[in-house]
Amino acid sequence: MTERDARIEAMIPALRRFAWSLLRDQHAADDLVQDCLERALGHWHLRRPDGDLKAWLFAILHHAYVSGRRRDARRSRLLGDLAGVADQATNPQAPEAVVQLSQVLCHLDALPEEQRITMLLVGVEGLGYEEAARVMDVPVGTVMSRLSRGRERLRRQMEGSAPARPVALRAVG
Amino acid sequence: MPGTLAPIGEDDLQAYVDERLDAARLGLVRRYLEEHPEAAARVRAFIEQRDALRAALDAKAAEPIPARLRVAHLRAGLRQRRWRQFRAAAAAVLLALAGAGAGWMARGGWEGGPPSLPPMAEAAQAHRILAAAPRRAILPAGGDREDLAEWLTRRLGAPVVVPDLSEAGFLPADGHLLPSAEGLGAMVLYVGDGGAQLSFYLRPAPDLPAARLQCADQPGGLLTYYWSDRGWAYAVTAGMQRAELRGIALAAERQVRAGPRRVPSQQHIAEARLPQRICLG
Repeated sequence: MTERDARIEAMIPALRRFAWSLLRDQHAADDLVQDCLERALGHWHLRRPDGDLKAWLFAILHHAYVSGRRRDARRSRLLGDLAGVADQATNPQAPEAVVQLSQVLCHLDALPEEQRITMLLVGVEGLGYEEAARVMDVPVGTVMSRLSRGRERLRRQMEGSAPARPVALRAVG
Repeated sequence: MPGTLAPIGEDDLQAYVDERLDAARLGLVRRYLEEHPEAAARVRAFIEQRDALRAALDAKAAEPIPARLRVAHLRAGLRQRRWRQFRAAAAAVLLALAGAGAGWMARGGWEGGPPSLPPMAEAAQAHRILAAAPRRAILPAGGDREDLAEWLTRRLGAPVVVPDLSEAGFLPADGHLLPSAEGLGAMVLYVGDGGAQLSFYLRPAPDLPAARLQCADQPGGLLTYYWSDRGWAYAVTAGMQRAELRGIALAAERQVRAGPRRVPSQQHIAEARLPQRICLG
């Protein structure tokens, strides 16, 4: 494997996690990652040589998500949620933890999409504010305000301590 | 980020959560949080929710990478798709050439045609056919030169360089395998700003001595710069100004002569812009 391929491959776990958090459907998420990787391999020469590979790959994935029909998958997944058949990021070893975890994700779902994406990029994927701004193609100030509003809103929801699921779903609908 | 003296604001609290404050600012924010318990509670909640999200999603990043997403697998898939397209394109070109009349590749001896065809007329002929053909999405926009060169090297059984002409604004867009009297050759079509087309052609020429760049006017306003080296004949063809095409052809020639896997330097194009020799097509 070339050094270039190894660097791309090292990013795949994070890309899959991000794609899954956007779509909550493993198959659709892997389709999105595959799309992203194929574009990256085909457009490698368009990458700025000094650019950050991680931000570049996330930008491609984000663009593919926003411009594609991926939202359909998400919408139908949320409908599936209503019927109680969500594909959760489950850990069979710790059923109690699962309940806790899916609550966080349900609350996250209730946020406007751009706030949710910003919180995932910065909070979970560890991108810097400038990198996140590049990924979403918005000014850094916008990243900061999305982050601040998203976190505040999530905090209020979670403090509301109402059962997570109904709260989240009402807000989404 | 606010300077050391700016009052503590919302951005500072977010940067505190994300551990992105410099040491000086971090001290100020810590003191601020000690004095403002409400802000401290908010920040604590932010950190908790961030950790909960990470914990909820970490399992996804720990999963093994599915086979279909391995880079080697994706590359093979991309190549195979390209290959299928190449084969289809080569077949289409063969048909077109057969229709146009056999023997166009041989210099002279064209019955009923002009007494002698310009040198490398086959390159111009292929350019005419392929540039006019609807663009197949063989390569993603701009393509991947290295991949294409690797693939052509395997198909043609000799090291192939696909020249980097991006400094002149041309990126590979399409490629075709082409038959020739001496064996399998290939043409790579480049597209420039505003859709201008340029082709790079190569075919085996085992008996041809090495020759420097020359140019030939082709029918239909096309111009071909050609050279030969180590048993291969090369041509760069386009319908553009002589001086402009010459610079590009010189860059291509230099890169091809230098051999595969060489990063082209700025120098290529710069030198190529020197005053041209007079070219008698």
